[in-house]
Amino acid sequence: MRTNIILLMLTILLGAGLTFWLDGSSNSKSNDVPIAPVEKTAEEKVPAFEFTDINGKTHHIDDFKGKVTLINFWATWCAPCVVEFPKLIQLAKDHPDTVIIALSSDIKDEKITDFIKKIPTVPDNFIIARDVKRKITTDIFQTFKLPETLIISPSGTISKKIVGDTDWGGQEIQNLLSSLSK
Amino acid sequence: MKSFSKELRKIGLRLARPDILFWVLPFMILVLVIGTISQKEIGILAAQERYFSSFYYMLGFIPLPGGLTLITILFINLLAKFLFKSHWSWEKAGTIVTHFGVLVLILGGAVTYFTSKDGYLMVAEGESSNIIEDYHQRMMVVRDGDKIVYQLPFEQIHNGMKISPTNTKFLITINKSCFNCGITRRPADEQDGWTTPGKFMRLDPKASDPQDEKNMTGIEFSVSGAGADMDEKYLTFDKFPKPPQIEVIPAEGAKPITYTIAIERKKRELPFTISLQSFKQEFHPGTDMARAYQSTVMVSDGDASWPALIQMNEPLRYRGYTLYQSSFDVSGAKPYTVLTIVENKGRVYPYISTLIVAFGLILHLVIRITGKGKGNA
Amino acid sequence: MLRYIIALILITCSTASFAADNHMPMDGFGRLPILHEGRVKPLDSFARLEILKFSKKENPTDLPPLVWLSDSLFNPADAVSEKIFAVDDPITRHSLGLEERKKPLYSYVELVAGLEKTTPQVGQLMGKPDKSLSPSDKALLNIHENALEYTHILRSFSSVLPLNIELSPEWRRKADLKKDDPVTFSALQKINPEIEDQVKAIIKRKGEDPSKYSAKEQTLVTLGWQLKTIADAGSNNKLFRVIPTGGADEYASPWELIDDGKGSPSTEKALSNWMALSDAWQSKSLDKWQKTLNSMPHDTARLQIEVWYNQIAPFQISIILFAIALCFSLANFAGRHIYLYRAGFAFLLMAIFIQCAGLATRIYLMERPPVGTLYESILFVGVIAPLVSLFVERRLRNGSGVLSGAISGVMLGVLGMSLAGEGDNMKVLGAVLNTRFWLATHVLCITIGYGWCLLTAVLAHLILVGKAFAKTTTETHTDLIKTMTTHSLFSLLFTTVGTILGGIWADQSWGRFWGWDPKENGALLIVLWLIWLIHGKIAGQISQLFWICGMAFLSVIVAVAWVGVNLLGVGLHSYGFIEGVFWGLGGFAAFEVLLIGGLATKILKTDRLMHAH
Repeated sequence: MRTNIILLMLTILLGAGLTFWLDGSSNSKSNDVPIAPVEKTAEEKVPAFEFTDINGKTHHIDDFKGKVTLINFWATWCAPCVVEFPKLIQLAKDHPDTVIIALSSDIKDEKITDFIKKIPTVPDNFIIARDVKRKITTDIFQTFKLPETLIISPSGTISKKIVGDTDWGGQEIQNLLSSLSK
Repeated sequence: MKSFSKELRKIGLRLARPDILFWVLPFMILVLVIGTISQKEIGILAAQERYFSSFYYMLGFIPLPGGLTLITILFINLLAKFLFKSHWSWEKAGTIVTHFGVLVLILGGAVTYFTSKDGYLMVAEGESSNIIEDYHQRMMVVRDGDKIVYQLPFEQIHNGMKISPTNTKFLITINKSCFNCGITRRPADEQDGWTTPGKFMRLDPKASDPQDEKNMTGIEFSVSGAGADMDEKYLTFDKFPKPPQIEVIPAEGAKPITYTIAIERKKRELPFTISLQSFKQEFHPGTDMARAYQSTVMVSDGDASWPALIQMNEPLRYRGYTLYQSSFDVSGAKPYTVLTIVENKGRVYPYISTLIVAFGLILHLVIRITGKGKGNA
Repeated sequence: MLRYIIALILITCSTASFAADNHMPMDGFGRLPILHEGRVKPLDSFARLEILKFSKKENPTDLPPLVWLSDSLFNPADAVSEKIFAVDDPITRHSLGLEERKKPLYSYVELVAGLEKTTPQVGQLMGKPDKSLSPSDKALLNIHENALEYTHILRSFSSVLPLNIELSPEWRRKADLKKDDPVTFSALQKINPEIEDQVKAIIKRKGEDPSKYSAKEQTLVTLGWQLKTIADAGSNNKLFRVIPTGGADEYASPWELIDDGKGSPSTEKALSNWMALSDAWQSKSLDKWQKTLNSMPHDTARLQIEVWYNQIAPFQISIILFAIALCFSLANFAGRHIYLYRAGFAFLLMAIFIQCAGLATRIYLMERPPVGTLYESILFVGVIAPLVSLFVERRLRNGSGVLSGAISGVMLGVLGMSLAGEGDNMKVLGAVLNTRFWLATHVLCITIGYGWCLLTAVLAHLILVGKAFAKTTTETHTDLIKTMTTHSLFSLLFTTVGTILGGIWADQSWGRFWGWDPKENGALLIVLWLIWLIHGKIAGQISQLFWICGMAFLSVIVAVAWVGVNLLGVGLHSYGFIEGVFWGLGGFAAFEVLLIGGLATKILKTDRLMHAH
C-alpha cells in the first residue's frame, strides 16, 4: 500500500514539476518561423511581336531587352483603363529606365489621338500603340478583359501579370519594379 | 490506532470491489449515449453541462447519475483498488500499471477541470493586443465612459430582476434575457414604450450554439427613475455596436452623466503582447476549401520580442499559455486572426497517462501471451 | 435562365454523332490532367466521378464514361440526349413532369422543361435551413445542382467551339477570320466592342423595337445578343480546369481564361491543342487525335497509376477474393478437407494482398496516410481485421481464423462499396485533418482498434454458432474463448490508446483534451464496453455465455461508434445518405440482437437439457 501511495504521489508531482518547468522555461522560445518561400513559378518568355506606335514608328519587343517593360492592354472605351492611364504616365515619369507600352484595343486611331490630346505630356519611355485587330492582346496574350498589365523583366520573361486596374503609385509596385531592375 | 487502520482497510477493501465498477459502467455508457445524441438538439455545450459535468440528470421523470458523480465513484473505486488491493506480482503487473495510468488520467482531468481557463484573443493584421476575452462568461456592464460602475455575470440575471447600479439614480428591471438570442421584428402592438432600435427589434431565445462564441447573449430591460424622457424600454446584446445610453443628472444643476449599458465578454489580460504580422489562408488549388491557416505573430514580453508562427495543429506555448489558431475573419479591409488561449495546469497528465496505460496494457498482453502470468485476464 | 441554355447549346454546331463502338481511342485522353475538387486527377477519374454523380451508377449507359465526357465536351448538341440523370424520387419525377420508366434515367433534354418549371420552387428551398427539407426537396435540389454542373461541362469550350452563326464578309474581315475559319466566341471578342458600339447606336437611332430595324441591323443586334448570352452563360464556369497556367497544380477552365484574365501565350497553346482535339473528334480524324494527344504535356506516373487504379478497382477484386475464401472455409467446415482449408487460406492471403496493394496505391496517390475519411477507414479496417485473423489462425490452426477473416473482409467490403457511392473517394482534407502526423498516429491507432474489435466480435459469433449447434468440441470451444479473450485485450489496447491519442490531438489543435464531441464519445463508448465486460468477467459478475454474447455484440457497438456518430454530424451534403445509414445501422443492430439472443437461448436450452439428464 505504501509503495502505491508513493508511486501515485511521485507521478502527480512529476506532472506538476513538468508543468511548471514547461511554463517557466519557455522564455523567448521562438518556434522557428520559416521564411515564407517566394512563390517561384516557371516564368514564361515573352513571345516575339512587333507593333507600330501612333507616331508611325515600328518597335519589336526585343528592342526593350535589358529594361523593365510594362505592357498595358487598354482601350478608350474601357473606363478603369482610362482612370489608371494618368497614373501609368506618372509611373513612367518616376521610373525613366522603365518602358511602358500601352496597347490599345480601339478600332480607330482617331479615338486614341483624341484621347491623348487631353494629356499634357507623354514621356519618351511611354509608348502608345493601337493593337490592330487585337492581334497582340487576344491572339498572343489571350487577354479578353481590359485593363490588364504584364510586367516584363529585363531578361524578357513575364514576371507578373496584373488583371484589372491597380494602385500604380503603391508600395507594392515600387518594390516590384526596384527588385526587377536590380 | 490499530483498530482505526483496520477499519480504514475494511472500508477501503469494500470500496475497491469490482462490482462497483460493474454497476457504474452501464450508467456511464448510458450517460455517454444520451449526452452524445442530445448534442444534435441542444448543442455540445448544453449537453456537456446537463449530462457530463453534472451530478445528476433527468430522463423523463427518472433522476439518473450524471458524469461527474460517475467519474467520482469510478475514481474512488479505482483509488481504493490501487491502494488496498494492488499487490505487485508478475501476473498482475500489467493490470496494476494500467489502473495506475487511468488514475493519473482522472487526476489530471480533475486538475484541468479546476485550473483551466480559456478565452480568445482577436487581433487585426498590423495591430497588437493582450486582451483575452472569455468564450463563455458574459457580463452585464454599466459604464461611465471607460469606467465600469457596475457589473453582473449573466448567469445571475433572471427575468423580473431589479438592479440598481451603485451611485446611479435609476433602476433597471430585466424583462427578458437569453443566452443565445435571435433577432426578430417587434410586432406593432408591442412597440409601445420602446426606444429605437428596440422598437423594431425583438430578442427571442434560441437554442444555444455548440460554438460558444457564436451565442449572442442579450437582455431586454426597462429603466425607471432616470427622468421622463429616459424611462423607457431598451435592449442590448453582445457585440451590439450601439448599446443604449442613459443620461442622468446626478443632482440639481450638476453636469449630466451618460451611462452605457452593455453585454460584454469577461476580459483578462495576458502578461505579454501579441501583434499580428500577417495572416495567411492556404487553399487546396481551385477550391475554397482551406488547406491551412497560419498567423505570423510577434510576441513581446517586457523588452524582448521575437517572431512566432501559429497554425492549425501547431500552437505556440509560452509561459503556461497555449495559443492556438482557432478562427479568423477576412471579410473586412484587414484580416483578423482569432487565437484561442488556454491556461491548463493539467495538460501534461494525459501524455503521462497514455504512456502508462499503453505500457500497462502491452505488459499485460505480453505476460499473457508468453504465459508468464498464470491467471486469466 | 434555363430556357436559353438549350438555345445556346443549339447555337453550337451539331456534327456527326458517335455510336458507342465508333469513337476515338481513349487511353491518352483519359490520362490528361484536370484540377477538380482541389486535386489534379486524370480525366478518366473525372469522367467516372461525374457520371456516377449524375446517374448514381457506375455505368448507366453502354457508353464508357470517357466517351460520354468527350461527347459532352466536343459535341454537346448530341450529348444532351444521353440518358444519364437518375431521378429516383417519385415525387420529384412528378414535379419535373417526367414519364415513369423501368430505369428512372433521363436525359438532359428531357429534364430541361421540368427544371425550368421548378426553378422558383428551388429558389425558395435554397433559403430554407437544411433540417426542414424533406427528402423530395433535397432530391429536387440535387437534380438542379447536377443539371447545372452538367451545363458547365457542356459549355466548357463554348468560348472556342465553332458557333452556328452566319457572319457577313465585312465582319469576317474585321474579326480577322479567313473564309474557312470557324466562327467562335473568342474570335468574335475582337469585334465585340465595335458590335456593342453599333448596337447602341442603332437603339439610340431607332428605339428598342426590332421590327423597325433594317434586315442588316437586325442581324447585328441578334449577333450582339448571342454573344452576350454566351458570355453570361459561360461566366463562373470553373469546372473544367484543364489548361495549365504555370504554377504547380494550377489549372484554369477555358472560361476562366477569358473572365479572370488567366490567359497567357502558353495557355493559348494549351487551348489550341484542345481545339485540335475537338476538331479531330468531330472530323473523326484518328491521326490528328493521336498526334495532338501525344503533343500535349501529360502522362505523369501518378496520373497513369490513378487510371490503372480506376480500371483495376482493387477493392472490388478483393471483395470477390474474400467471398471465395469464405466459400472455401465454409465448405471446409462442412466437410473437413485439407485442400478446402488451404484454398480458403490462399484466397484470404490473396485478398489481403490486393487490399494492401490498393491501400498502398492510395497512399502514393494522395501523399498522406491512408485514413482521412469514413470510407477510407472502412478500407483500412477491411485490411486490419483479416490481418488479425491470420494471428488467430496461427494460434488455432483449425480454419476459424480464416473463416472469421473472410467474413469480416466480405462484410467490410460490402459496407465500403455502399458508402463509396458519393463523389471522389480520394478527397483532399480540410485544414484540421491536414496533418500527416496525427493521421498516422491517432487515426491509424483507433481504426486498428475498430478492426481488432470487429474480428473479436466475429470470433465470438463463431463460438456461439459452434456451441449452439454443437459443432465444436469442448477443447476447441475453450481454445476459441481463450483466443477471443486475448484479442479482446488487443482491441482494448488499441481503442484505449487511440482514444487518448485523439484527446492529445485535440489538445494540440484546439486546446482542450476532451470536448465530448460525438467522435470522441464514440471511441470512448467502445472502451467502456470492453472495460465493462472484461471486469464483469474477472469479478465473476457475468457468466461465460454473457461474456461471449457481449463480445459478439461489440460489432454493434463498433458500428455505432464508428459509422453511427456520423449521423450526428451536420453538413453531410448527400441526401439519402443519412437516412440510408440510419436504417442500415438500425437493421444491423436489430439483426444482431435477434441473432445473438437466439443463439444464446438455444445454448441455454441445450445446457438445461444436459443438466436435466
